[in-house]
Amino acid sequence: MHGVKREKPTAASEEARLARKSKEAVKLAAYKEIESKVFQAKKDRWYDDESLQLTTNILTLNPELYTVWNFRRTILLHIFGTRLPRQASSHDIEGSKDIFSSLRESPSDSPSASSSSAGTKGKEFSSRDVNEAKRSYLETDLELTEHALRAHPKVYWIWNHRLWCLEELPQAGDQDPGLKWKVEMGLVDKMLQLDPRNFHGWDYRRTLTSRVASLMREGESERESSTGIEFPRTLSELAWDPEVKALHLELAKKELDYALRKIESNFSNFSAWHQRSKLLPRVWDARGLDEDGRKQERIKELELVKQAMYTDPSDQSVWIYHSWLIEQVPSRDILEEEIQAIEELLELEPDSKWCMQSLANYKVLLSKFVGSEGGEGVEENLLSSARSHLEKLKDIDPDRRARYQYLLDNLGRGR
Amino acid sequence: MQPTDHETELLIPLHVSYIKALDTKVDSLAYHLTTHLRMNGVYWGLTALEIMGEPQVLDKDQLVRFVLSCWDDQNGGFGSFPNHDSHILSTLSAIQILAMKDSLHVLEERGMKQTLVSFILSLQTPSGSFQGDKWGEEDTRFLYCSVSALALLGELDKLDRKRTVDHILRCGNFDGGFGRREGAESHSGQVFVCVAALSILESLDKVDVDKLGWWLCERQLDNGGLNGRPQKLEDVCYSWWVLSSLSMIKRLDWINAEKLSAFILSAQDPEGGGIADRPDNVTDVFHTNFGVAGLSLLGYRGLKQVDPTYCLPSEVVQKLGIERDYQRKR
Ligand SMILES: [Zn+2]
Repeated sequence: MHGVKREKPTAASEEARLARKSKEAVKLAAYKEIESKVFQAKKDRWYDDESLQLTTNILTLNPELYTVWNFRRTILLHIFGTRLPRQASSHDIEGSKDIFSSLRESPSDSPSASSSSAGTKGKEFSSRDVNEAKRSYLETDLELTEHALRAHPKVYWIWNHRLWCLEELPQAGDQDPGLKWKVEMGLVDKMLQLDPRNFHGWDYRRTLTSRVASLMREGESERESSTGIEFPRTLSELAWDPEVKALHLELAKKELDYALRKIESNFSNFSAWHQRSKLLPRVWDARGLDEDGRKQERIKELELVKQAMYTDPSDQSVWIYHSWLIEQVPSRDILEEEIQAIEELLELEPDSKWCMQSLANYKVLLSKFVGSEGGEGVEENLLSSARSHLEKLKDIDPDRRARYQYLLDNLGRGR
Repeated sequence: MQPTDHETELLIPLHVSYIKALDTKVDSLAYHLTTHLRMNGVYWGLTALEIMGEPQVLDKDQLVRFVLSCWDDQNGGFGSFPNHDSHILSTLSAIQILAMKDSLHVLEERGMKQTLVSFILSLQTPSGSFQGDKWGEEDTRFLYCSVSALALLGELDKLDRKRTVDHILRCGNFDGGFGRREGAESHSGQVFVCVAALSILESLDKVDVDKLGWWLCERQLDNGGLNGRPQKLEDVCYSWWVLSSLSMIKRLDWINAEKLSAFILSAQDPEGGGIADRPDNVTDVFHTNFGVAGLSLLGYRGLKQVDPTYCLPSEVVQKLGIERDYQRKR
């Protein structure tokens, strides 16, 4: 259990406890009844609307029951496979039961687009009717999972089921096949507004983006689509049709902008910094930037980081990202410039652990350039300055003392 | 009676009776609402008891019977509860329980072992990642569960190691950590599963341990507890995942062990027993196990040694001959 406060048992709460207990007994009995019905239906392989309704009932009470989500998908697949009008001409597989009742009454009693056009047993159905019926079921599930996610944004099984529904959802008419994924972005937006660090939301967002990206690849050679490489890795690793490449680049830029907006509203959003770290190098690859081009891009990104650094120098998200930008391909002038900027910040914030940590790291890196380009005195100065930062860090951040000592012990090695 | 100070002492007898009592609450709503976690719950309870030196509190035959009752004959593998579908999360817990009770042989005797191994191997995708079951969710947690399970079963040779290791490395991030999938943000729990799987597959040399160690040691907050990601709250379970990862990459001294011990102890419930995610919260068997395991790895006196790679008593792992290198606080 996470984040639930413990209550001290008091005389008053003892009474409340007893009242709660009798209430709980009623709830328990109701839960056990529906639980046994669902598992009986599963055991009997009863794949119909009634079972579907049973799964709705129990999942509303307990969305963690992965077995019941599995059962729900099995029911839906069965309905799609054997009971949709596609097999209208085949004989009645479930005996005397009206196997098309599901087309006239959608499972949650919500008005169904197909109910008027579905017709009766034995009628010929067009593939359009099939899709409409399937859509109606899946839209019910999309609604169900949306409600469930609002109440339980961290339950893996709900996110999974939702993704499965979208995969199965047929496109309506001749609409854009990517539309369902784009529309879904709206839901992720809402979820990430409620909790901008929800990793389910971010993972789901990446999944949607990669689905949109793969739809852009239609028509590419089989050799390429069979590599299993997904967006954004596609930007680095595939020999591209220029048109597809441009589309993927545009998509990557959109995602970079999204992450930027999240950072601008809160510099401490590590999830958003992470997202930029995943996309930027791919974009640089796709643009075919040489070393100097990449350097210019890193300088631009460092400007953004600098703003964040000055806003809250104690925020580790920014510094971890900063060190990644610096360390990829260390360059002498970037190091010099960043060291100077951080020294200035350190003057304003003399006890900033992150300033000192970064300075120690970057001074050691810079000393390697200076060393290889002559200037023994300068190199020694940089190393001794790094040493004094690390010594001070041992005092101001004693919990991590052993790490600073380790860095001191290795200082100047590996040249 | 001597008043005990839960800020400095692990209240072993209290936690033992807390775990013992869990089994008697079968008529509570909470018990029925958590059937999807029962197999894991039994593993957490049993592991905590083993480390606290009281494994006999749960009856061996009953445990083995419970595990076998969760066998999913249709898919192979174990579910979390009788009649629930098999999933790798409950399958690993089932195997771990059998391993602790020296009963892995029952799998062979009942003709389940080969089905079980096939079930696990069937979860691997062409890219090297693992699904949790046939429905397709992919996560490095499932990869770890599969690798650990195969190691415990002595069937690691059947795994495509290279494909597996390559996938883990693709889940690595700019901060040195690992995520659920390729592209996903680093998270202590995912770092644990990736590092432990790499350790079992003898591929930890492919990790930048100084960088990873940095990210991990910055998880410790001033109150001594460890968090799962930057800017998040401390939590006893994350404390275990960070600590065990630091142990496997041999950077255990990069955090303040005394403060972490004190944090775990302060999350105990001195009246009802058990350990919570953080002080003054409701306890559960999950955090009780990871709290006790953390203290064991930190060298807390009077506890049996825990193996950080498998989160099992070291004795069990040594007996199976699958132990990997790690560091322990003395
Ligand atoms: Zn926790």
